[in-house]
Amino acid sequence: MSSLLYAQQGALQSNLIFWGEISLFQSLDSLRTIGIPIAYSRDKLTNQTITVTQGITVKQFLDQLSNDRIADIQYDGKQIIISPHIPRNYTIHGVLRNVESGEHIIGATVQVLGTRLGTTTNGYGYYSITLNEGEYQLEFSHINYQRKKTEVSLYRNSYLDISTTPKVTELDEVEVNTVTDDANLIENIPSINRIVISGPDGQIPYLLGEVDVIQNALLKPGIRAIGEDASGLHVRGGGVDQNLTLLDEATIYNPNHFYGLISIFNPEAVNNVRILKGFIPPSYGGRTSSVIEVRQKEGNMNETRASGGIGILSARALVEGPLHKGKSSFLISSRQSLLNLSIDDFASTSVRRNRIRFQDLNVKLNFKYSQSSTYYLSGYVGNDRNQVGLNSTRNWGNRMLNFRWNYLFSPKLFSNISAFVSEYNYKIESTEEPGAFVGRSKIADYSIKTNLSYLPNPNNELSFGFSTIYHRLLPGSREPFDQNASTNTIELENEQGLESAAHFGHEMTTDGFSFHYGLRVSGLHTLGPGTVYQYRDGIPSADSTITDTIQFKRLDIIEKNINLEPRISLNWKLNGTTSLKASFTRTAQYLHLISNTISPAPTDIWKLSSEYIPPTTTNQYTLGLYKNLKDNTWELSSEVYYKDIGNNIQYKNGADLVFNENIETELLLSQARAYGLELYAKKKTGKLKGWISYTLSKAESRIPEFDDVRFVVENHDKTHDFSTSWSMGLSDRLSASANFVFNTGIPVTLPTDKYEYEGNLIPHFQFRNNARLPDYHRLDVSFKWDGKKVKKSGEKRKNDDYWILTIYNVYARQNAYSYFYRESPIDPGTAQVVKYSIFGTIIPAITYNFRF
Amino acid sequence: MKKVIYISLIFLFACEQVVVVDLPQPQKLVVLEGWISDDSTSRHPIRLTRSNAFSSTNRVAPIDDADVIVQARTGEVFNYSYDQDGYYTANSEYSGISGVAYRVLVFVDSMEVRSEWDIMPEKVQLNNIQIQSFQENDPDDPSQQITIYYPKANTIDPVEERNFYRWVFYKNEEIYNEPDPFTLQDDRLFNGNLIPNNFQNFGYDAGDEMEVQLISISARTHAYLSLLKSQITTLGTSGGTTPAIVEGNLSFISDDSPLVLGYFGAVSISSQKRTVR
Repeated sequence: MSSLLYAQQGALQSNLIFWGEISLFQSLDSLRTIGIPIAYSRDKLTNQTITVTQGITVKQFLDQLSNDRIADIQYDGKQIIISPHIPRNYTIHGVLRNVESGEHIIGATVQVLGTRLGTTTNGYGYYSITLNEGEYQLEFSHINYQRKKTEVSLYRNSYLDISTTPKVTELDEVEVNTVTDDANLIENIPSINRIVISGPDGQIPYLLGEVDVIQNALLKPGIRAIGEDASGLHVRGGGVDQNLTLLDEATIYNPNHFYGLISIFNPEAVNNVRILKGFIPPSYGGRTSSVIEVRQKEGNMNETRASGGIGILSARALVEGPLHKGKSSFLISSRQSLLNLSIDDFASTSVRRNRIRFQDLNVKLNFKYSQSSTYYLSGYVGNDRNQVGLNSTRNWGNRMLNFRWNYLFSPKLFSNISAFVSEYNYKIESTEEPGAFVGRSKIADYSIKTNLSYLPNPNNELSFGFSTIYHRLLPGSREPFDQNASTNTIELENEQGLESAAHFGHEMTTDGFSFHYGLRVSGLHTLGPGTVYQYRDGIPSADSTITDTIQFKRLDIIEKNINLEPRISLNWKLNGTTSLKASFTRTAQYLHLISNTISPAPTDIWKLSSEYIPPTTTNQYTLGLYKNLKDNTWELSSEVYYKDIGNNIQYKNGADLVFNENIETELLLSQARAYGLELYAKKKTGKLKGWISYTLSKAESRIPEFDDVRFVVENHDKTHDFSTSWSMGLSDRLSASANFVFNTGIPVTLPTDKYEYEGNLIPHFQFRNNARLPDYHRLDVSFKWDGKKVKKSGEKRKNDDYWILTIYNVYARQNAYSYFYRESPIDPGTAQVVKYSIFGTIIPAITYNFRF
Repeated sequence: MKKVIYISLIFLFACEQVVVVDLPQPQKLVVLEGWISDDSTSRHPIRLTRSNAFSSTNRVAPIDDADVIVQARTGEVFNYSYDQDGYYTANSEYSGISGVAYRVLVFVDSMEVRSEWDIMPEKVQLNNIQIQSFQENDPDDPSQQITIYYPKANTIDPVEERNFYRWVFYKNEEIYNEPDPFTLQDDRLFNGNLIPNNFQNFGYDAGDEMEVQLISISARTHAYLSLLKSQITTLGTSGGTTPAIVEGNLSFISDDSPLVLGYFGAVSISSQKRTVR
């Protein structure tokens, strides 16, 4: 309009001289007769009868032609061109929400019914789909929510928030014709495990009735721990430091309480967990084995609710509610261990009163500023306190604070920008001489991360972004406990580095195929101040081989490492129920946990890659076949993987890792490889639900310095690993679940000989990991008894409560945690192999949970 | 009074069980243990044994047909003769000298075993020992309280050198090595300071003869004993390391010969005795 001449503008505002039913050509001819400069071709336009309202202007008439998609109108300054209507693409976008809490639903399928087009809600609950204009029916589905259909008239870009209701109980799903989603087939990438904490999968009770996301993950294929009460996960043969554990996008460096008995993730505050163990999208990096992404709940936007529970081990509570209804919400949750657990170790008989307790605090605020802008603030503080004897106290814990901004630049361009601080601290106080001291270590990350997703059409999604993390590592300081203490002040040199990455990815769907490929360019700049030791022949073999020392000033670049990390995944949908996926992922890791114990300890420090500790790199190849049966009721998958891990850190015998300024002299680099077959079958709906998981695998490594040829199995290798978990409703208030796990015993090093040294009987070992512990198996069962859901009046109760009875290790198997070797107390000179079981008996527990 | 409830996981749930497992073939290796010290009244016994199959019910076998000599880098040679139970003793009493390197040469199985040279460290004096007492529950009758006495040993660490120590305790002239057979110390964390060492793992009763020895050892000796200690105290625990060969400072002189276990070292000893009252 602005380009029209002033005179034409006046003409457009004049009233029509015709109305009622009239043919298109007649109406256009009439406009010409009153001097409106229009141009059109009778050959191209389709003549049709139109209805014109009396009294409208020429402009309103032309708008009507356009809006009714009879013709397209173009004002070129001299004339008005009338051309046949050409259908356009428009985008519909919005958020899928839980109707009760207002929280966003992640990973739901959005299907355009009658077409093969569809998408999924992203990691923040947003969806965006671009279609030709027209009438559509969209269907939103998610395993834990009621299916939702909605009619859409798409003739302009539209924003549509959809709310759906959580599925209530297992018994609601008895209907045999229930159709569930096939997200596992559609998803571009293989090897994802999801745990929705509020769903039946996420509520599996573990030892002492605790619900724990890490223990839950161990029931999935390819994920294992070295044993009960052992810190850290080994994912597809990787090391425990090779998992990127994120809580609301902030890195968590030690996700364990009680030395690994349970995780720091309070089930009351966690919404869902996603574990990526095969293909890792280019937006993630910094670890070579897996991404464990834990998201906290967002807080109820609609009403104030409280929930909690109490068991033998801990009590927890959560309060959430709107700050401004429908606009902003808060969440605060706390968990506290109830008892000072004693963890006296059988081998540490000299240490009495070894007791531990923990607490967690989770908070979250979210503020929906507009349709296109939402702000989040989430935080976590956790702490373990371990009293060792009378004179020593250890404290450790994680802290994180993350500010996140979701912004829609346009319906097709979504952005997530986050800035976070994450810390892991360790402190020890010992008042006992010699050397009463206070020791500290710390790692802190300060990070900014940006991810953008552009969806030009339903078949393509482009993602790109960058991230930078400033790592600050304080490997250790030690100062006298008081002025009378005999210890000296020692402070190891701090390390600092800038880990940055830029990434690009493209997800593309064609008929039957979809691809996800991309590239991550990552790098670490180790920054001064710092000291680098030079060693004879360039090999850090011992302190005595130091030949020179180079000092770097503040912000000097000490070392630079750059890596290209290509990622590609292919999904070939063979038919409506079967897909074949293949992927390749290369990852680089610039931070290493320095730990030579069987299970990592809270005291272990992290170290940046350096001249002598090159980044760990992994190439992983995955091939998987996925099949759904009975209208997606059964989900089956079979995956094989192979990964080679370069520059894997190992340790010299007797490595001295405590307060060592030249820690590189204690390290060795190994080449590791892991390969395996993972089978998984899951029944998603019905009265009886659950899954079966089996992994056949091998993880091994070799240290070129020791042996050029022979690979030795890793400490965490388990050839066969089987687990199954099932739940079933027994009545409208009683349900039961059971888990069974079986795995090959972990490798163990058996002695060949015994010898005496100063009256002590010493075992002598020849080859590492030359045998295995006995096979491990265990059955747990639990029963859930729901409180009454309906009042006597027939009205539904707003409050829920339930009891859970858990029986861990039902048949009291004395599974071996380890072997240790000792001299017979009754027959001196005779050696014994002793099997040690941590949980060698049946362990019942009861917990009470509520929500109001 | 605030009551705290403790649950002992080990007490409630854990268990130990002696098991029989198939073990690899034994290697039957030569084992040597021996120290040269600055004690002029000692013949500095050296023990030679042969390791046995771990599963064997027999004790380790002494080696009684070896030839043993100790050499000082100054050129002195000390000849040894077989005594009993694998022990060889010097033909006469002698004293090692601080700052001098010593090694052992053994002819066994028709081959020669040598240790690396180990320099005897300067003696660091144990200034004095004090006795601390605590009231504790009687392990035999927890309803009763008894008094336990613990040694407190005061030393001044020399500032100009890196020092490594081993503490050895005797109770009524018997070696007292339970629960810690190797109490080791490294002055990295308190170099040059007055060190009040509390040893609350070693309890004495009234009337006991308490002897405390401060043994100055070399860095190499400290590393060996640390590794040996970890092999017998932490294996099988989550805080333990993977078992490994504990390599000492001994070897056959031919390259392809089997490993020799054990250690030969030179140490200087400062000792004090008290009767517990």
